Amino acid sequence: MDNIYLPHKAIITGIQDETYDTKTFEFEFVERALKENFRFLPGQFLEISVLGIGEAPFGVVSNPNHPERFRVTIRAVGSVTRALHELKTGDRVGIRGPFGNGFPFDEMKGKNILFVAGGIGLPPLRSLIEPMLDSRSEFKDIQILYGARSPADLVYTDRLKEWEKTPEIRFMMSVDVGDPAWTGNVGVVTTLFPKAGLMTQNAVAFVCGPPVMIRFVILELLGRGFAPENIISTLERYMKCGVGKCGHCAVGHKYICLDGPVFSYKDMMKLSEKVV
Amino acid sequence: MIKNTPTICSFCSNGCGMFIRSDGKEAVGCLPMTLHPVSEGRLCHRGWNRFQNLRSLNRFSLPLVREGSNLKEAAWSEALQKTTDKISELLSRYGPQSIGVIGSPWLTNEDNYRIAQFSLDILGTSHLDGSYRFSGASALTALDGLFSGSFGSLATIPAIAQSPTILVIGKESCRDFSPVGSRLIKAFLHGSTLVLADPLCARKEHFFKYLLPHPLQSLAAVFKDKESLPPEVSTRLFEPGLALIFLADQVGSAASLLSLLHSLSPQSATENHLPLVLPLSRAPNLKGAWDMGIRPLENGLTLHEMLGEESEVKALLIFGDDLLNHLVTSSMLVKFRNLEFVSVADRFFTDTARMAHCVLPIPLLAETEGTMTNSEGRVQKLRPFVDPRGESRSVAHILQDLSQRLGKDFPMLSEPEVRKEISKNVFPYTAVASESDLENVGGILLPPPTAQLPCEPSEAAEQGPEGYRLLVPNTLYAWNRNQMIHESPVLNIEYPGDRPAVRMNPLDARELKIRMGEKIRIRSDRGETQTPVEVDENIPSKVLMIPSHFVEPVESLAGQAAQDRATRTVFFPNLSVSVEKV
Amino acid sequence: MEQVVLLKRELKHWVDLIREDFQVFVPSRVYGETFFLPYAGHLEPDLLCGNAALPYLPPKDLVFPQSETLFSFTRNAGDVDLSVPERPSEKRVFLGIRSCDTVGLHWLDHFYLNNFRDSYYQSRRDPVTLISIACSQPMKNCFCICCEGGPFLHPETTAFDIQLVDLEDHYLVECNSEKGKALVDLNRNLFSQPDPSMVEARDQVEIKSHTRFLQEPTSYMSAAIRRITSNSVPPEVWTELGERCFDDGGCTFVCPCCSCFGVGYTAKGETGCHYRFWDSCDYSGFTREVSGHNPRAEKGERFKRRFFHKLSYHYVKKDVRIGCVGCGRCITACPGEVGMPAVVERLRRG
Repeated sequence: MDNIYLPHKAIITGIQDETYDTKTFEFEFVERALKENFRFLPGQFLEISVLGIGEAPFGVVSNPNHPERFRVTIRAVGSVTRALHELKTGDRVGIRGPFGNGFPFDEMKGKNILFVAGGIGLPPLRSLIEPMLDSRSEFKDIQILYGARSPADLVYTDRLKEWEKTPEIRFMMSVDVGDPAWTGNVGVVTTLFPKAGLMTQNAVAFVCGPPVMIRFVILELLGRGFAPENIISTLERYMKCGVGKCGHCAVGHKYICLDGPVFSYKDMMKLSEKVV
Repeated sequence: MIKNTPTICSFCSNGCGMFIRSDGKEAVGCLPMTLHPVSEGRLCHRGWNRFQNLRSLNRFSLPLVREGSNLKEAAWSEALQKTTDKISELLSRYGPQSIGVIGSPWLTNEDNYRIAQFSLDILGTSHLDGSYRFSGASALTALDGLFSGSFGSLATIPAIAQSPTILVIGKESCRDFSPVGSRLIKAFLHGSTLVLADPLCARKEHFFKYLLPHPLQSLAAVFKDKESLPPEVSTRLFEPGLALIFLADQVGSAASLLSLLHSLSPQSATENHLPLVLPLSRAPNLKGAWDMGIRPLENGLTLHEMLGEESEVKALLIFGDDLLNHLVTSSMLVKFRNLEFVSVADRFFTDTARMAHCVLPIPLLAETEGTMTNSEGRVQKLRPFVDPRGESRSVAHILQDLSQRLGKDFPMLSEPEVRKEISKNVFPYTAVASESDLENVGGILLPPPTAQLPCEPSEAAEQGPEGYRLLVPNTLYAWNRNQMIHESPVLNIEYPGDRPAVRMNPLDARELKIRMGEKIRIRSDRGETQTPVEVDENIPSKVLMIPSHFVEPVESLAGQAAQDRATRTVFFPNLSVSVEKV
Repeated sequence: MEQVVLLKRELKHWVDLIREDFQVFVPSRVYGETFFLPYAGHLEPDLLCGNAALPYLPPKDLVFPQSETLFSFTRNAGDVDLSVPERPSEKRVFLGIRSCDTVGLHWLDHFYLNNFRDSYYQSRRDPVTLISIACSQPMKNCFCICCEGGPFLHPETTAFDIQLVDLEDHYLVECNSEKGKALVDLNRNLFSQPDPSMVEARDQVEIKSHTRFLQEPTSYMSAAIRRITSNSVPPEVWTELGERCFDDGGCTFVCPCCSCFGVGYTAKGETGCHYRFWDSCDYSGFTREVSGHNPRAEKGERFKRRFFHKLSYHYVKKDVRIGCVGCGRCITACPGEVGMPAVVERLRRG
């Protein structure tokens, strides 16, 4: 009998410091069959446990086209994430998953794609951006708007530099508060909208970030003509089991871990509790 | 195979009857007893989740002995020998009055009785007390004075449901103690009048008819001036059958409680006109420890005095109490940290254990026999669901070992034998000699002696507030500082820690143009402090609240803690302050 | 559905026979309270008849325990071993549960065994055969008739293994599944065929029982379901009900249809375990995130949420029936007197 609560052993194969409180961890499963057969969809999440300390859900941030080693970006805020930050390459954790519904991918082909990310909202979107870039010709315009609190809070800075240079995507970023070395845009991410030259026809917007930011971005997008079913975001809730049994992540009559975490704004409005 | 062990809950002083369900040695669940007069088939969220802290692996398995800045595991013989060596040294250098002994409301009656005997007979010290000196002793002192040596006319919790008028002091007295809360609701549904007195409550629940925004210490003056009350309130409060419910931990001075009781008992009143009183506590055996004599003997010092400037006490032997987290002022904390020797007998790795010189593991209340006395004066038997874990030893065993090593004899009596002693020597515990009566569900209710009308205490009325009123509730026994709560995954989340901040009403904050987290300057006539603000819509307008355990800002504003001379202790009073944005 | 007759005085023989292959759980009195415990050779006839009182806990406790270890771990030299506790492999019979509890168990089956099957629940539930006793009269808090939870089970609407109907000196044994039939097959000689007058008597007992249940204060569940589904209950009502709630969680723990759990973690040295335990959506920490943000910080919101889950049509569609079987245990367990009937009545009044 399959045991949905028993984690599989995984090894940390790499750790990258992103900011003062955020690291990206790379994992591979210990068991060979798992390692080779592991697949996930962009936007799905894993339940990662530090044995004896706790277990928490994390969105996968790496490219689903290269699933043998997969990455997760983790900010240290609680006991589990702080314990993870203490670990080193070669240490073992427990992993269950992937869970959740994931972002739509094939239905996005032939459309203009807009990504709006705030702070720690960029990591889950990256699992969608990268495979789209792998099949670049199947999508029309791809635009990324990224905002962070300060230059010290920007993640994936190396990749951001590449995005700035490549002709394949239009990339803009902004920080709420600059520092002496910062020469780029200053202001919340919505301040980029007037100068972004957004494609609003035949377009889908993916929005991820803190709840306050999502609210304002969605208002902007609606105002610029995006239909509610074409604004796609993620909902977060405290989670325990990840498989729709423990009840913690239920919102209205949906479970974030089963029916989400990806929801269109139209579906969010149908939930019987106010979410955004 | 699940075993159900009937016992009493060990979180608060309600003393709910419950079953601890176990599978082998593991606690796997809790259930309320349907036939118990207090729980009646219900538990609060602490009781329902008690089994989680019984599963925690954070217990001590072996004694610990300090070596430099570390605590190292040691065998019992080593730990006991080190303790007795130090005791002997102190006795010969300074005499017995250099050692203080701390009993605990988290220990059984029998263990507290033994500790009192040990202090007197073996050590010869009269410095004996409990951490409740700061959280409950004032209420107990007042009630002792009222009812000549015991609680007397205590309300039973079921009887509250029949009271026509109920005065509840502090929202927590209803919210946090669900057996009491449920009787309040029953009374409400049968037409009783419920009055809430709480200066920290902006909005009363619908089952309270009136909200009096005064703290306990001001109520006597308010009741004397009947003009200030709605007429229905003043009529009902002075009719027979009033029940008075309050949190004993938060009574600052004995005089304030005596004044209140006096104001509710007109001079011409007969015995049954006095209110029924229910003093609640967040320690399970507050009354039991007090009755068993965990108080200074003749010429002895209270805990406040033991940690005072001129105290002769150089060492503390602490049994079953996280004392470090139960001290009121910063000078007490400093004195505690500078003691020559501290030994702690406890269950989990508390802050106090961390700074002790010697730590001795004792069993949990769930693993011991013995009795506890709840707020009603009900003496109830605990039943262990499992034998004590690891290398822990009972308090009786530890006291006997220490005595032997000091060359003296301390009798190792069983719990029933100790109860026989208690029934002979402690008034009014005569009935506990009957083991068969104790076996009954609901234990034994201590009999009320004849109540006498209280003497007239004097209490200065609180000054009218100009500007803001700063309230400093006593939070030493707050649940989020209780180690057992930390050991349970659910309860730990239910009681999150509080950040050092002053709580303020959102409208007041907006008026002063202050946002959450920003600092304000608070000024009293004794000093000032700067503290970040936390906005809380439950706080009434023009009221500020700082929990008493944030000692630094409170001391800056209060100057010194106020004295309760009757109880020989101190507390932080409420203050009139002014506020400005920084 | 097959019907056979068992004389009451033969019940013990049957149970002793079943005990050779199964562990039998029966309602037993311990310290004056009723628990479901393994049969130890002694049956209490007044707990096995049509008007027996409910045990405090529903039998969900036997298939979904108040706490259970998910797995334990041991670290050794850089690696770690995980081990799942051994599952009970014995076949079991729950004898003497009530109709409402049978419906509740099937509700939990639907939740736990579908869509990510819970193997811990399954290993405890699969080997169980249920023998329920139809209720001939309501107890103090019963309202199963308002919730399609009893007092009698019908094969067209509810799955069950065996239903016993109490007919004075004998039981009518109604087998509705292979598992049930297998228990009767253990010794067909204990049973006889019912004659038409017995079947008639059985139907009369059911009619009388229905009448008695309908005489109790009824709960108009459909009105509450409508109001909750259409979100037309004024927020002040939820605030008022929330004030009566003491967030103790008692209602969720005693409810046959409540299934939420939390997970705890223990570790000392090289070993430890992850275990799960009954959790309650009443608790303020149920949805509090690590950042401190809590989408259901208000008690009224949590209270509303619980009843939404129990009664709204959205959930009924998913779970096949409402999340209440009318057993009345929440009334006993609630300090604030806001169990299901009180809430339904308040919602109906508006």
